[in-house]
Amino acid sequence: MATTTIAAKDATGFDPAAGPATVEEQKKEELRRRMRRIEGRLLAQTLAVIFFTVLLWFSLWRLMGPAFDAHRTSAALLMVAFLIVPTLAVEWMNWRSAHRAVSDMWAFGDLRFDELSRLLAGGKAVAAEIGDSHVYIDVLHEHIGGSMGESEREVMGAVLEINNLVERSIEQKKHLARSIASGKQLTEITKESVGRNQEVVAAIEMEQEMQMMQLRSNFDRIRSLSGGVSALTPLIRVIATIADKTHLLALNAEIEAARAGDAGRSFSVVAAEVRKLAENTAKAASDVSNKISATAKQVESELLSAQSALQEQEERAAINHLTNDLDKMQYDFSHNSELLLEVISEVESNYGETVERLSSALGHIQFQDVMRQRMGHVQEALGDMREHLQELAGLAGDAEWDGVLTRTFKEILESHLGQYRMASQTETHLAVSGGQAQSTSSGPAIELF
Amino acid sequence: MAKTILVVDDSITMVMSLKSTLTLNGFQVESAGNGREALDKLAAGLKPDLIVTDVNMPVMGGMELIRKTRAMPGLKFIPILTLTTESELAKRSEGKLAGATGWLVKPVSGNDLVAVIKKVLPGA
Repeated sequence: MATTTIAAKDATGFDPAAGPATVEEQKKEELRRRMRRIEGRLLAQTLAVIFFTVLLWFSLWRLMGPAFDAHRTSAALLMVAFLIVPTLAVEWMNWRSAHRAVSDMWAFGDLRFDELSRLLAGGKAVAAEIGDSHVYIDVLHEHIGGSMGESEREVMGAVLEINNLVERSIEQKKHLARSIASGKQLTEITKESVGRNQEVVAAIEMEQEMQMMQLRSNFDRIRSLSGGVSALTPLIRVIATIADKTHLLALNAEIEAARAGDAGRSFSVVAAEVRKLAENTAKAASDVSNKISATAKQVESELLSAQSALQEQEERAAINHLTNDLDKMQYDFSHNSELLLEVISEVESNYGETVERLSSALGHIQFQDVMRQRMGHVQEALGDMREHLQELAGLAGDAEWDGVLTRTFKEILESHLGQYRMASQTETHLAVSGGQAQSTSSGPAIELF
Repeated sequence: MAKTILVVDDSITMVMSLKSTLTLNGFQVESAGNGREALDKLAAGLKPDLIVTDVNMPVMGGMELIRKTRAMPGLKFIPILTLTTESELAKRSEGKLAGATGWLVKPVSGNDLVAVIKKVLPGA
């Protein structure tokens, strides 16, 4: 039954799927079974020979009795026929069975030899391949090392650039601080100066206004005087006309007095006196006229002087406008200084934002150190793998090796769990290897004790 | 007067980036490549107001540096922050026992770092 089952599984009667050790056990059991069969047949043969021998002699004795001796030849032939031939037949069967068993054993040996040869050849090829893997691993190791070096150089370049920027920013901050200080000082000085100037300008304005008022008043008085003097001229003309008429009247009176003779002598004296008075009046009128004319000219001159002074003062007022303009300019400058100060202050507050952004950028650069450590661990792991594969390569070609390893890949991988520094490394490991994550193994990113 | 911070890290990029960050924020920065170098500077008379150190470094690591710094005269109470990739709780406990003031896991934003420093360094 068992033989049938085995034969159904494989051409050689064994089940290779059951594994090498089981196949070997199956084959050994088959050989043992065949040996037991041979032993059984040999026992049956022995018993049959004894049985047939006894039967033969008993039959001969019964049949022949005393005549048995006379038929010994026949008896011998019968014994050959009933004893030797069956024995030979059984022996032949046994020999055939044994021959088959030996053949099977030879076949089994051949099979094991072929298997072993193939396994050995395969083992040697695998060992050679594993032995060559160190170059592959070394190349990967160097690639990682090269990438890390490159990354470090580039990040270093970025850090240096940022560092330059930082130094410039610090210089700018100092410059800004100086600008703010001097700007504040300038604004204060300008404010004070503007204040002082405004007071001076106000005083000047007031003084000028008073002078203007005084000058206008003087001018008005002189003009009024000039008008008064000018108004005297017609009066002088009236006096002169009166004097002329009086003189004519005195002359006529003197003519009439002369014509009247002695009666008119006294009248003639009066007329002569009147004529002298008229001449004196005319002369006085002429003197007054000349003096008024001279006075009028002088007043006119004074008026022109006053007008000139007034004009000059008005021009001074124009200069005052200029002063006002300058004052306004100063005020504008002060105002602009304040605006500039505001701008500088705003730039300073923007500097704070720049500091924050630069600090943030510099924080991101720490990823390089994180990556360096992770990659460093990968390199160490590759080193472990290389060492293990070299051990395997040596063992695979060793006929004395009992199949026991000092460390397995599984054990090496598990040993990495205790070497990780970052929670993310452990998480990645467990996610790939299918282990159980321990959520309490890591704390917050920032913790103050 | 600007506060002085001693930065200890074996990564030159870390030292440079921390130097820039802290200088930018008004601190004066001194640096060392490992714990031994840092101790030598402290023994030579450097009196920082705060120490920021990595944990895993060649020659001498951060834990030993913290323990030895705490034993130095005048530095028993100096704030020491660790800035490391180590995030395991066991390591944190070890750092706390050694005398660390705080535990910061890389990468930390520059602004967060400055905020923590200002918190543990009054008047900074």
